[in-house]
Amino acid sequence: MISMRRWRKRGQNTFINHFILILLVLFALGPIVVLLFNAVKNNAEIGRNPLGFPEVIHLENFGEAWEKGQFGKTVGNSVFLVVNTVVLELVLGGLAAYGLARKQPPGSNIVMFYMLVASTIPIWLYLVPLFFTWRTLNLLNTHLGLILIYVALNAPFSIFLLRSYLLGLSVDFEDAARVDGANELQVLTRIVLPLTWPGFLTVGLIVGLGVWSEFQIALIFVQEPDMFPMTTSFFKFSDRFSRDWALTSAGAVMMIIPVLLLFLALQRRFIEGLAQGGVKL
Amino acid sequence: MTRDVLSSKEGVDTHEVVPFVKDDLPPKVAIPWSRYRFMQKVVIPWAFILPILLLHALVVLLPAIQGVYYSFTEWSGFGAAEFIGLENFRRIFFEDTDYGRALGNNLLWMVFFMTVPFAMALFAASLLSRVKTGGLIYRMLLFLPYVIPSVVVASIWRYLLSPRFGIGAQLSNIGIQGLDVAFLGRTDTALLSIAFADNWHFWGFLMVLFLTAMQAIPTDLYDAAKVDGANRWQEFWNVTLPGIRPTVFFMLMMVMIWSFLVFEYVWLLTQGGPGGSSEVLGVVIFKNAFRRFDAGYAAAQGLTISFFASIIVLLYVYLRKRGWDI
Amino acid sequence: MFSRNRVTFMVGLVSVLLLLIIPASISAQDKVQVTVWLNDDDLGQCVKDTITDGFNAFSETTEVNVELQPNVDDTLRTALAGGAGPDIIPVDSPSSGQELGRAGLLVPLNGYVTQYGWDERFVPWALELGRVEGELYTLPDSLETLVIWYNKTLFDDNGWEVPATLADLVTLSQTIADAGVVPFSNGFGECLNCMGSLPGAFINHYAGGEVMYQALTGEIPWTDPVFLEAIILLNDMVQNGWFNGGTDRLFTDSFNTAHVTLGSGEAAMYLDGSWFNPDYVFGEDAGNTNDYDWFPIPTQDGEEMYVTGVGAAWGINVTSEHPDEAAEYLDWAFSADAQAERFNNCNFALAPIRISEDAFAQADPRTARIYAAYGEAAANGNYGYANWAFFPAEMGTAFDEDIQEVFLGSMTPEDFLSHMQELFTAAQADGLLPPLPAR
Repeated sequence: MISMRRWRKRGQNTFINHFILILLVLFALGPIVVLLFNAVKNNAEIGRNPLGFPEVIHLENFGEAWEKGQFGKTVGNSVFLVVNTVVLELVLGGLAAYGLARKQPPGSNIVMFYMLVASTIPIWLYLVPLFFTWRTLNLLNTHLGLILIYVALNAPFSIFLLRSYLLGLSVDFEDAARVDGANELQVLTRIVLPLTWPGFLTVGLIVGLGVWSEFQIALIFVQEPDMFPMTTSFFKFSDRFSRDWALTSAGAVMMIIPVLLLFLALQRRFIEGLAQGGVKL
Repeated sequence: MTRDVLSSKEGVDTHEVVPFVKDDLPPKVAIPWSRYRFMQKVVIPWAFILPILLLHALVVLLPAIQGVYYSFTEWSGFGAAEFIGLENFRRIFFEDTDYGRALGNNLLWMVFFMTVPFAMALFAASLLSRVKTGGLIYRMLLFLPYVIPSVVVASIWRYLLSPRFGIGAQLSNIGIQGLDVAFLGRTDTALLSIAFADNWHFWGFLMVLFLTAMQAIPTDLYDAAKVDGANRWQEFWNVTLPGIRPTVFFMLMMVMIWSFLVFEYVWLLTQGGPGGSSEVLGVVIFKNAFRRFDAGYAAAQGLTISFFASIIVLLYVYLRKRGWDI
Repeated sequence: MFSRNRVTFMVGLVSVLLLLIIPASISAQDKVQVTVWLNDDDLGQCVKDTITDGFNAFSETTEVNVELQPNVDDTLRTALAGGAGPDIIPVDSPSSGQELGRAGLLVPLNGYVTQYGWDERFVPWALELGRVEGELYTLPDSLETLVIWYNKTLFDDNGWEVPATLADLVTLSQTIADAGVVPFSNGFGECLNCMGSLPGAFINHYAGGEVMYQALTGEIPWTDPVFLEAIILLNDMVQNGWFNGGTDRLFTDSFNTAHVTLGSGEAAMYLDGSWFNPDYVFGEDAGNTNDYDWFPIPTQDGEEMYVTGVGAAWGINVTSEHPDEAAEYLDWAFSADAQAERFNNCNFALAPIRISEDAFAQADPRTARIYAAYGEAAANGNYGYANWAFFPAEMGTAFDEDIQEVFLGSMTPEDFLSHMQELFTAAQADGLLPPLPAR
């Protein structure tokens, strides 16, 4: 009797689960479908029919957007920026998060407080002085200069998030390893990382996406056209008063696809990690 | 049973005791316990923390201190700055009505973003953590809006909210009247409409964060709850939520802070209009600095934002000190 | 025969020779390089090619390097504040230029004016815009005015006539509305703050250039009844729904939509700048068989008048190492030939220089007519003052924003104008008024 009741309950739950999830998916996807439609219309049609299915399909928008936006150059730049920022952020940030989560040395509260307060400062306040500094250090117009800024700006959030994931991990394994003679770095890389990599992955993804779609800072600190990231390509599709929405949409679709693919690739590993089960105490 | 942890590549099978086995271990040298502890407790952790801390100070702290100087001056944004003491601040708190209105808008924004996306994200994450088939697809699709650049998101939502073409207009075509309102063109709906669009973009991000945190909750706890006869809501309230509490509180605090820094979507969709009704502090500061050539004043306003957001940080820190596990 | 050693020797010799020759040949062509920044868009790309080819062929001692920057205005601002930036600076408005000049970030140009005779070449009122306390800092570019574009086919089909006076415009709008057509298609959804062009047009054309001059020099206040009547007239037209049906669509339609409805005949007129190119929404590609034309915004008495403004200005960076060469470039860029070339190739609005009609030979006759009519009216003193060019910064910003509240009914036209008067007097007191030449 009990088992039948449970079975029925589970069946209902699954249906409702999926139903609600599908509603949410429609909410999330609807506007993206509109984007897809607009990516293959011409501007005149967008002006009179911006939401509906395209009357004529203009696939050449993609080619035109690619060329005009010089995506060939800019995408490479963006990839370089993203990869380096994420790696540096996870390494430096991970070290700091570990130190703060596990060790909590004297002064760690001050560090955390400082980081939080620092993230409240609007960037306009220090943009120009930072520009001066970077100019003195010859970091203007370099990808390195941009990467360093991104790593710094993302640091508070990354460190805190990583720290919160690390806090959820039981100390036992690390202690066991330490007892057997591992040094701190080994504990970090051989014990902690394999157990918390979903957290690192998530933070990496978020930081990566942030850098991928960033443009304000990039535009200010890099003025060499060859070094522009892909977000600046969007500015090529607008002039003083209006924007070429057809090309902008096509460009946006092209920009989403690699992220989608990356997400797909990473998500599978994510799921693998899940299948191994959560941490059992 | 032992296993060589160093050479194993899969995850650790956690039910077993795993002694650390390593070849060629150098002989242990006897060092004073206090020195060892000092190394462990202070030097090593600080060695881990310092690199990024120093980088951050170079990029944020030092320039910010210089920036703070400008808030005490009259400065057009170019050339020399004239020191005027607290005059800017006096103007902010006693004269500037735009500032007060913008601050109110920021607070409204904050209330919206502390509730709507959180509810949606928690709900979806808890659903997703149960669903076995298609979990990957759902997760990807629900996260997709976050991937789209803000310029594009804004343009799509401008059309979706348009009284001529948007969802409201389409609905009235099929008979559902009254929703073809000019959401972005009316002073009473502009700000919330912008928040709605930004939320569409943002909530998937929260969901992924919460989902990741939920994975770390030991399944034993769920099993135990089921044995005790808990239903889904009780499971959520008593197992899931407490398990991810640090993440939730952290994100609540970050959202509160970010609410004071809002700029992009407001600027893209209405530039603070119509008639300034959707202006937030970020927009006010931008206009002062770059349209009215009043950069010193803008710096002062920026400082006040930091001040308000810091209060929230203080609250968070205080609660932690009091023992709240956040 | 080809022993290793000998081959190595030959290779070495040739390399050394090459190393000697190549640098020599390069330095023989070494020119001083000056950099210019342009906004990275269609227009910028076109202009870059025209400039680079034109100037580098023209000058024997200098060459120009055009760098396209996305969102150039913001990028430039930070760069300038940080002590960097190109040799030749694009300024987005005369007030910015004045701020930069006041801050000492631009090279004073009076010496070059004499050297190159710029005071002869530029239309006098335009050159004045670049002055701060008598010293010239920027050269004006991109003449701009406001006109009413209209769907000519629609007018012809319905027997509507181009209005001669403002009163006629009102009657016409009523007629159009009665016929079920939207009188004005304007939509400011993408840029609410661009709405200032509407009141700007109306106060200019209602009051006339002379009265505008008096207000802009502080002789009469902005609260004068003539301005009040103008704003009330505009507001009445908006409340009648003649501007895209009312504030709902006026405030939310994109520029695209505004253009498209004009092209399709759903709307009849569109009040916009001379920079607008309606081609893409008229004709076969756009799915209609309509044609367009323009008429000047009418005045009270019917005398033809045009608002004038400049959309851009150029200055020389004070940190430039080659100011003389930069001035040489500017002189070339503002020559009649270079201007005509730029205009014909890229449809970039002409600078306010004295230019012959040949320059328009290749242009669309309608565009040519704008410049011709505008030039003639200006020569006769029938010109007004664009709000984006001549209002002091703070007043201009408020002008754009407050009019939205007027249209929405949350601010009265009286309060609107008294706020303008307040800000004007404050700017006057701070010495921030753009200089105006005598009429």
